[in-house]
Amino acid sequence: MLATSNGEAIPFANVGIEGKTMGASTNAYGYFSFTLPEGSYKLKVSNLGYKNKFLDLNLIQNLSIEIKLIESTQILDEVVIKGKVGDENLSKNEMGTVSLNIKDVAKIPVFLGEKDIVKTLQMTPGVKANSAGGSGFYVRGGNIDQNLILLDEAPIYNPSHLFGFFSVFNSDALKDIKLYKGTAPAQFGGRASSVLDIKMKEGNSQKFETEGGIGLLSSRLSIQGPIKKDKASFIISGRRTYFDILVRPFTQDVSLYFYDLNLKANYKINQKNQVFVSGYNGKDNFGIEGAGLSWGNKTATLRWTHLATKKLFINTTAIFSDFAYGIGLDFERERFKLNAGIKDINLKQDFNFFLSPSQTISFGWNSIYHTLTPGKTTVLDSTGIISSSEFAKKKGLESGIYFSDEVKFNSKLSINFGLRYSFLNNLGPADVYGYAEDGKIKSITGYSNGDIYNTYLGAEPRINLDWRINKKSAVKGAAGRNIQYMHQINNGTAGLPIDVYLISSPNIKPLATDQVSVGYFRNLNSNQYEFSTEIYYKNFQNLPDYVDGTQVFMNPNIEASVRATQGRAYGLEMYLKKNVGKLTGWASYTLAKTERKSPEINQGGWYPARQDRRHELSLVGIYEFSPNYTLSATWVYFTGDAVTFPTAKFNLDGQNFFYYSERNGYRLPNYHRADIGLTRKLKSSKKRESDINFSIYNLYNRRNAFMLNVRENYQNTGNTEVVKTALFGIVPSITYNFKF
Amino acid sequence: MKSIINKINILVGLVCLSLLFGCEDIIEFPLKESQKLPVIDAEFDMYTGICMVKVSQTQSLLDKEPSPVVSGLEVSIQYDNTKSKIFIATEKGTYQSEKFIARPGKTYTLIIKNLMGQEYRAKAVAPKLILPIVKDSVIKYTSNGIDVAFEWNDPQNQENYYWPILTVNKVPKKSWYNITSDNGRNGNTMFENLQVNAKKSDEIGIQLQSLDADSFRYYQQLINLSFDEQLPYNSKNNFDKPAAGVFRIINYKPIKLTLK
Repeated sequence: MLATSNGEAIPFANVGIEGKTMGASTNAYGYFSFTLPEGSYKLKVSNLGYKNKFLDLNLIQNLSIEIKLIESTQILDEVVIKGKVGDENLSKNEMGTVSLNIKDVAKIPVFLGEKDIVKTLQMTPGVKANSAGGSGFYVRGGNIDQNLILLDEAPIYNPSHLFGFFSVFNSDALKDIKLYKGTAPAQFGGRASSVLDIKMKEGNSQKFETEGGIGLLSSRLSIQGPIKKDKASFIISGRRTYFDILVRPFTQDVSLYFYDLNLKANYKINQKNQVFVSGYNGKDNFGIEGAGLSWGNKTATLRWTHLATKKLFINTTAIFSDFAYGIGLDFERERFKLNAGIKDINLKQDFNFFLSPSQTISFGWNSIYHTLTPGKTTVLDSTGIISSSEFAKKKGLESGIYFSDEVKFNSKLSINFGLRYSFLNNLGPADVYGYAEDGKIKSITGYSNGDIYNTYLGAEPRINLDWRINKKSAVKGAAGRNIQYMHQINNGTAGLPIDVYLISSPNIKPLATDQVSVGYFRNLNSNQYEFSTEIYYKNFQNLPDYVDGTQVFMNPNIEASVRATQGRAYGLEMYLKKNVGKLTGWASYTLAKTERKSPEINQGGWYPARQDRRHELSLVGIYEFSPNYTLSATWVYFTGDAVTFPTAKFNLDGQNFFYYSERNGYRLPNYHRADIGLTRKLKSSKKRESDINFSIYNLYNRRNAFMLNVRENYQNTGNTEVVKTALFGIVPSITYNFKF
Repeated sequence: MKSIINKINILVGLVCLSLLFGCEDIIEFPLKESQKLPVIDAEFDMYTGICMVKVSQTQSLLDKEPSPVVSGLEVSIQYDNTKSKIFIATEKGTYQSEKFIARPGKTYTLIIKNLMGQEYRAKAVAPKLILPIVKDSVIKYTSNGIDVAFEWNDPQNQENYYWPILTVNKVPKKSWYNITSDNGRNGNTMFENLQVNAKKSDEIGIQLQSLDADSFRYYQQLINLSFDEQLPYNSKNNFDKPAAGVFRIINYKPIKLTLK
């Protein structure tokens, strides 16, 4: 199934037969298959953002057809309003998911005019920003590292630019965004809380297209077009900030910029075979007076889709992902350089077997070779001595096989059940340390290159049920287990890129989460409004946490200080969305509780996790009050984060220090903020269109606390004071966007 | 390694400062109070052979008075299983042992009785003496005072902890941030560069204090040398019951610098 405008595949579109209960969805690559007896049928195809299409079929033999859908923006507004809106949210057997329409993302006002999919996701139920303005996110009580973020199937380990204020995803290059908060399809594995599956555009196979934008902070440009019409196409998309260029006349000492580049090309060999190659390269650079930090992600994906038979679709992918960061210090007497990161090489195959119109079986395998580089340092001290040391690399092979079966029993009941079986092999060369309870080294065992010195296995069952009560409502339920073998051990909130990753080992058990959720879905006013409410309970086992005071960074014995702790999260999510009309948007509310438990913290009792926020409310409205003007506004409110503060002070050697009696016993003040945006379409023609967007972040200049700090008054020693640090006040911005 | 970590701290601090171009406000915030705990600052100086213990209490965060000292305690130090020295109170809240010689590698146990109705014990192992190597060429006068660079040979195959200190007219000018370990430099020549505010006529000296492992960890955590965005926490000390402070043993031989 393809889009008429650009020839791109349409994933997860609904396909049904009029008058029959059977129906199916296209897979992630736009393919579907039906087996029907000979006869005449009316095929109905629908997808959000596209006009419904009806096809008359006279089936007398096997048939392979290419269906093209027209985007709804190409239709007159009146038709969209009056036209029938699909009920995919009811008919699809999935819950705990969020799909973003990239066009909606562009309309929502954001910080400094940088449209950002992660910031938009943070305004949906169950998804919380890791900090005010940050681009990390927590899903249903999980930590940041428990989100599997895939860009064209390649994992992105650090999705942040500019210390977390922007995400690495350039919306111009993206086609499809889907977040699984609960039970993700069995093909996904390796993270305990969520999967954010982002697909890049494939490139317009019909015509050349250029689009871009010029903003206060950055500019972006995308070019796409056919290499050979209907056969091969490409897209190249880039973005760069120019803060460093703007400040250059005033100072040469500051360097602060990021860039990213997305590339993709595809070639349709024939009706049954197509190959894709895509890549991403993004980097941040921060330098000031002889000190510098840089970090970035690189990914590459090579994919071959093959229609083996009329019923069997095969997707074969090779993936490379590299996250690296470096620190450089060049002081008068000493120089220091550190490089660290994580590299993945991944091979996978996914099979979709369209057994019948009411049953699709999926199965496959994948294997990821992880290489973790904890740190390589080079030091040149003032005596001229150069010393170089490298903490031992950690290697592991993480593999999985899976099977799932989606069955529609009748017009009311459908079940999707699956099982993923995952494995982790720790690989040599390695010196494996055994630790005593006090953290002292008890034993060291050496292993050679390629030796398997430890193996973990785990079954990850999952099930989704969809009971369609009537045309307007459905009840859904889901349950599943996820196992995670890779752990980010420093869960900071300041967005610093100095991530320390560990792989499960004899000293660190895999993290496992079990989640159960139930939801009620109802559409109102001919599907113009979608309402859903879900409740969930999630249990975390072997959640790695380090002992207080551990030196996490550049510590070769960090595993000695990691403890397996417990966690639980439960909550209620409500979502009301208006899909069509002049006013669109949504309201999202989450009532949640997230707790952790460790024998060494708060006397072994349950205590609130940092991401524990009782209430979270987001309102998003987009109003098209004329063909040329669109006004958008958002308002977010959430309970302040749980934080740790001192409860006493003491004096040692003439200096005052604080004493802490409980973890996360305090709350930051509640957060709320409103943003607005106005987009004015400029003169456009068939070949050219442009608009200008004004937006105001933090409209009423609320000084929300980024952090609170307890300190002694500098002038009046002995006086303790609480200091609130607020980040951004009111921030206006302007962006010019164009397309031709 | 410590100086590198410190410099990375500076870098991270700069990053944070550059991000926080918002603003800071002092706000009213309801702070909780915890039960009072003893604060024990105990140091056994192997050079002088004297162990000094200062005992006070934690205070409410809003308390502006000096720390309340704790007097009337029974303080002693035990070693070699049977031997012990009883301390005498030299002033309110301060207790001092008679002179005695401690041996590197031996364990010493500090015992404090009747402290808030309980007995507190802490063990520490006496560290080795390491001497600094000072070359005349690395002593410089600057506009801020005197700048001294020196090095020492770290003993191999054991963890060592140091607190390099400059003295001015025999008064130690301590900085908590100079506490360091041989992590990553084990068995190598280690290097330190200290500055002190002093005049040419002042008598400058070096104390390369060797520390025991527990007190090194305590101080490192107390000043939060690591920059891992960790949650705030209490430094882990060597007392057997909840208390602030640490029992440390230091070993050094002061070196007087000849300034030209």
